[in-house]
Amino acid sequence: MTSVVVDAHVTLGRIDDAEVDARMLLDQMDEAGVDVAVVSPDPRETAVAHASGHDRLLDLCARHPGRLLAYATANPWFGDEAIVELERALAAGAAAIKINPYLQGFQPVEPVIDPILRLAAAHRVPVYVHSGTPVQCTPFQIAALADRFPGVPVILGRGGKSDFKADAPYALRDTSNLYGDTAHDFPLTGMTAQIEAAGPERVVFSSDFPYGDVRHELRRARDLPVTTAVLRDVLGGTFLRLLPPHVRARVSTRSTDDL
Amino acid sequence: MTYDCHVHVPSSRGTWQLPYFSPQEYLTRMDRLGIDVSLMLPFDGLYHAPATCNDEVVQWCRAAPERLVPFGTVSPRDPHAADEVTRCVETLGVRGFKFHPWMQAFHPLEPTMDPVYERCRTFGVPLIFHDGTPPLSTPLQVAQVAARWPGLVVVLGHGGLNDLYGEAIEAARRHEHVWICMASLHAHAMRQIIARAPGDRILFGSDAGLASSSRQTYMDYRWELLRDLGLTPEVYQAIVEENPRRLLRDRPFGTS
Repeated sequence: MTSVVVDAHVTLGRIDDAEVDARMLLDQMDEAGVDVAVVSPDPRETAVAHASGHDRLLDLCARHPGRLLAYATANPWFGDEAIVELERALAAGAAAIKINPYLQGFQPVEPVIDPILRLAAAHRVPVYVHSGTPVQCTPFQIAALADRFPGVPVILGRGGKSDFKADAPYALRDTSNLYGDTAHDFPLTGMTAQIEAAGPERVVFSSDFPYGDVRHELRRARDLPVTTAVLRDVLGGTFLRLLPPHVRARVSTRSTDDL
Repeated sequence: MTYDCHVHVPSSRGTWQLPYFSPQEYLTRMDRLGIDVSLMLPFDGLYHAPATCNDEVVQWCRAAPERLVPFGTVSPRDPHAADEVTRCVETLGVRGFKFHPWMQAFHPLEPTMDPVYERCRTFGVPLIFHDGTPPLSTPLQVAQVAARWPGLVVVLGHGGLNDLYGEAIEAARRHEHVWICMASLHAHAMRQIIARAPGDRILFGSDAGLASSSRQTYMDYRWELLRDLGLTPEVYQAIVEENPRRLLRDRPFGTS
């Protein structure tokens, strides 16, 4: 049986006053047993400096082939420039799109974000969105966005943690293109609630490194009380299926039966 | 000595459909994780008759009074709430109080709470607030209780949670009697708090008692994460022992 462990969301760069580099991530990935991580631009690159962020991350991906993939992001208030930059990043190898309503200054119900979702639909790439306690946006706001674009897989990043995680199962149950996220959650409570609501093929593992510790996040996800087949999907299979074939081909599966 | 500063006494009423566990079960888990003392916060009392629930918390803690330190709560709009503070401290031996503004439906600065805060300040007992959640529990909002009641110790029970930890750090830096309990935070937030908040006012709590299993594996995960942060022995010791002892004013407990 082949399988691959994919960490569906991490961030590298400057976060608060910390400089978080690829070596720190790869060390935790190696120790934990994560094959591939999908890397987000840092907060400044997410808010305003998209091109330099994409160049930095795509260079990192090239230096660690098969281990790192990149998210592309753009502030929708840049309008056509945002679309042009996203097109450039996707053509250069970015695997998926991330949006962060808090850093990028919009609410998911506002039409300013629609062109980016239409772009995701055209490129058949998933869109990762942070959720949480306001000022982050809430699970139902993200579910409403996903509902407007039923052809786009939307990942409910952080699953509403902390105090909006109770919303997540309801949002997942009602929105078939919305995907749960294990980050910062616990196997017998929130993770199980998401899987019960969304079904076994609509929850993905992410550590949210460096906010989360890859080793601890993966250990908790491995403790999920599910079958090996479901765990294989949560830990990577589901996310890989959301990626376009040409991106998926860059991820090497390994033979491992001991998830 | 190792203190866990944020643990909930389990519901005996099926609140949130969570299972009950006995103090003996919990003590076994404390032993396995090397925890000597737990501050036991109310849970049922946030929803149901606080005086009755305060009695239950104290009774639960009597299984090991030298290790389980009871905290109480009061109903914010009960005109006799301050009297319940007195009963808790003088009769029951409660060592502090827990408030959860959004569950208990009050604003931290509502005048109805003034007699409660005054009485707590008189007794010199700390208040642990839920924080990290608008509209009634943001860190700077809760910190105003300490600002307006000088000398009253106010603990941000969750250090702002995952999205407002920066605000919790700011609150602790601005107000000398605001403490932070690192309960339910991600690793990065804990590192930021330890690096930037006053080191003599940082605590750690597992938030145990709210897991869906009486096995309380949640508590294991939280303690493993703290112990893997790579803290120096001095910083770790301050968080798990020295600061909690000062929070309780080095008074002995378990004698009531």
